[in-house]
Amino acid sequence: MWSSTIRNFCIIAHIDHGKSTLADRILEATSSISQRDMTDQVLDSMDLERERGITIKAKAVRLTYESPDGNEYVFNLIDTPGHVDFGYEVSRSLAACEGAVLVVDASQGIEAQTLANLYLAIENDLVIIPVINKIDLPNADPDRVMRELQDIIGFNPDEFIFASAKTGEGVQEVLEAIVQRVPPPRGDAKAPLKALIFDSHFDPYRGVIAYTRVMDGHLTTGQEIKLMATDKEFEVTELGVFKPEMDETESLSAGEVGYLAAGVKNVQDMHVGDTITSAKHPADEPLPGYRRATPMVFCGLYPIESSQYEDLRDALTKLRLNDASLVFEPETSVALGFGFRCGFLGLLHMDIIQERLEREFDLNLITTAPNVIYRVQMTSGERIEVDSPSKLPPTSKIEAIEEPYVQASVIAPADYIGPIMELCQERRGQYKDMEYLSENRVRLVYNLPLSEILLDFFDRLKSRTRGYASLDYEYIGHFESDLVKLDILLNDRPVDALSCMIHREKAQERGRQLVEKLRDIIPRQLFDVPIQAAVGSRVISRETVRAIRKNVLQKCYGGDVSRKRKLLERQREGKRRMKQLGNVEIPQEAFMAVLKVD
Amino acid sequence: MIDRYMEALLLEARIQSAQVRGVGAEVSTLYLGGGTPTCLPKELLGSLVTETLRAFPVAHNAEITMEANPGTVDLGKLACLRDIGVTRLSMGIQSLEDSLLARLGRAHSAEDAIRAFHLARDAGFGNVNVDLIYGIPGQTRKDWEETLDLVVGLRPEHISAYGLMLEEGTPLWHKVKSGILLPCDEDLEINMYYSAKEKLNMTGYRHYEISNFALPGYECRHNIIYWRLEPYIGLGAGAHSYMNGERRSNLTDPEDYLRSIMSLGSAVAEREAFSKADQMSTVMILGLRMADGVGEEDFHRRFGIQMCDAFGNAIEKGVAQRLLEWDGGRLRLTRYGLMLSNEAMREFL
Repeated sequence: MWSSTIRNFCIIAHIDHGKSTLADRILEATSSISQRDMTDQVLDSMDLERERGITIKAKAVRLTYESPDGNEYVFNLIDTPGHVDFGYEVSRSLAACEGAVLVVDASQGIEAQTLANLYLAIENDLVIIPVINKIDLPNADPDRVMRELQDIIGFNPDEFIFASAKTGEGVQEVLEAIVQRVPPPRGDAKAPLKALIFDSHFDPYRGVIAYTRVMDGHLTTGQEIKLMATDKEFEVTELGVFKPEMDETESLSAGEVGYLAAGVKNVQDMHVGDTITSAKHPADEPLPGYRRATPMVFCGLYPIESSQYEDLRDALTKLRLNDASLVFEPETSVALGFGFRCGFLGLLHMDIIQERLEREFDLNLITTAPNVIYRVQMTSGERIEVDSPSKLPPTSKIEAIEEPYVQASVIAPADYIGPIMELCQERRGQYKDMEYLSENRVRLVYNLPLSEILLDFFDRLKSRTRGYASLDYEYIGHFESDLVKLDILLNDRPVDALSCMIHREKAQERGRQLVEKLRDIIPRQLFDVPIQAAVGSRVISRETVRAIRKNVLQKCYGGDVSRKRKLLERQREGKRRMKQLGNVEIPQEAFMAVLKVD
Repeated sequence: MIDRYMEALLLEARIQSAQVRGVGAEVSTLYLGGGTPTCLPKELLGSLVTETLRAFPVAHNAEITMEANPGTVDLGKLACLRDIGVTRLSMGIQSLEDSLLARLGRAHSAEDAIRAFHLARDAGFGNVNVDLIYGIPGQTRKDWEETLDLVVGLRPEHISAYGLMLEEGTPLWHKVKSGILLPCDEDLEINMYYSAKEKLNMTGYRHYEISNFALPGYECRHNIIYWRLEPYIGLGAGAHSYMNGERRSNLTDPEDYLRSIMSLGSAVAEREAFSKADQMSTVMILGLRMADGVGEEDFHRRFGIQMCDAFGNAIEKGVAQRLLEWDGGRLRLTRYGLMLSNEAMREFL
């Protein structure tokens, strides 16, 4: 294939700014999909993704476009995940492209995440095609959005395309811009093979399917390949492209995008970002930019019914087949029994996994409040990593604790600078920078402990800015903090699953809030239940759930029997869903209460 | 409407009576209530009772109870009821404090209530129940004890004392919901309950069910049938029956009921088969309401299985929590367990 007619590109957009609709229009225009087969927004294939309106896994589609210039072009549209948790995956998808269509809502302007991805694209030397979308909306202000983008990136006015993916206006221009502005892939088909893995999924018949962009050389069926990061070797059993259904080919050459199967049983052997080379004539150097996706957020997942423990293990194992960034190991909690400590890329990733476990595997789970990974400097000189508050060594053995920090950037209307700064300050943020994107939109940059973001930061940000703020953040390193472990005692017994790590100065306040929250959540039992918050042996807050004294159906005659049974069944069902800790019954919400305190 | 409804009711009675005749049984109790039957004119009321009794084979010593609201009775009506065979009156007195009666939305005064009670006696009723309510917003313990003292002075054979249940949508519920009235403090309500128990025990009444007290021999036989899960037939719109291990309930809307009975001879809206397991748990749940509880032997005779084999965990837990206790071969609620009975009962499901 002539690489001069290939265009590899992606679409960068904020949620709801119209990426999927534009992608649909492009698919229609290149008649890859008949109108009849088209479900709305084909690229987001998982139900969960469609419901949440976000794209979780990158996909690649090969399209044929007949340009008015008389030539036929091959478009590879590489979809990118649109959430901060998947920043690394985005960067690898971008590395597989030469161009990016930047889609910005004409009534909203650019958002933090889009900007972060845009910078990533520019770093990767991608040609950017700015598209101002939804110009048909009554409150669209394309000129303002255009000026804003000019100020930030320095686009020329004539680079902009005004479009409405909904009505189809401007779509043809976008297609032509892809042809004319996005350069054909460079790369040497005769050089040793270098192919980038930018995504993968597990197929029960073919094994791991790697989504790949050939940079140099070529791939052929039957070829012996080597993965440069894991140093594992396989034989290519199948190559192909997505149209969007899988379409087998004999080979893929420099510049092409497609998939590869090599009988790989485990996604852990095919890391996103790794370089595929030839086992016989390997390249000297892998492609730049590879790193191991590391989990940033941890939580305990426990089956409500202890009999579901094995099912949970099987389900997690199955999900990991498709998701190399999910990690888990068995964990035992005094309160919750046998479960798993799981690591995720971020909060959304965690939510998605939880939901899939419950929905697709029909498991009933208790999730403990998420925490970050701490680095502990021991008095002995040893350094350890702690992914759960309950694994924290005794205070006497701790020299110092480091926690992960992120650089967070918030974009919002300038009216909200005050509330945003206040929130960041409350969350132990260090001010770094502020810039005006336009007269009335600003970008604020703070360094914040990641743990402070896990605790409903985004919700707070949204509510203090009436939903106008957008957030992006990126890990910058571990730094020392004065952290303590806050324990919760119920009926004088510590509940390990309720412990959390917290800055010393916030311990008192958080302890009080937690104890009050738990007092409201824990139902009255047949005896008084004291709830205490403690740091070490010092109790900092205390409440009591008073014993229940009355639970009776006063009247029960002939017509009341069914009602009575139903009432008791409801009560019993409520009880069944609770965890028994000693003789205290705790509802599941209690274990998430840590997340929801004000 | 009333005529047509009565016609349907009596038709249903005659159709249902086949079930009683079929097994050669007799009706041992009849209870007319739910709503205010005594607001019917004397003649109608009389024929309702007579015709219903005529439909069934009735035991000669049957207990025949009529619900009577204090504002709706006069000596003529009561005497008529007595003449046609009503043996027991149940009077919804609720309270003998006018301000509390008004708060409950009752049309009668304390004086009306006392007068009605005496009328019942004058008409020859030797078995009268008085319904009382405690835990009314604003009611003090003193208010309650005064009402109790006055009622005990009247010496009814039977007293039902119910903690107020705020039913959603009622005027009282709205007032509490909107903060105009403060609901009764839970501790106060419990104290009222136990003070009634003490006072009535001391004056000769036996606390034979969670909310019911009676002079010896005057326990309500009709209600005991429910609590023992013995068969009963309910007649009329919304009435429930339990026969042959099946619970049935009639259509609740009177018009629907009427139409269905007249065209089909039946107005069953729902049927629920009680498996043996359902019957066993229901026998426990209902039986534990009574001071006598549930007898091990009775249980074994009825189900062919030992109570302890069927409900070992529930019994053990309830006893450990001091909610249940053994008295000879009978399992019953403890004094402490009376107000917490749901905690123990749900374990039997």
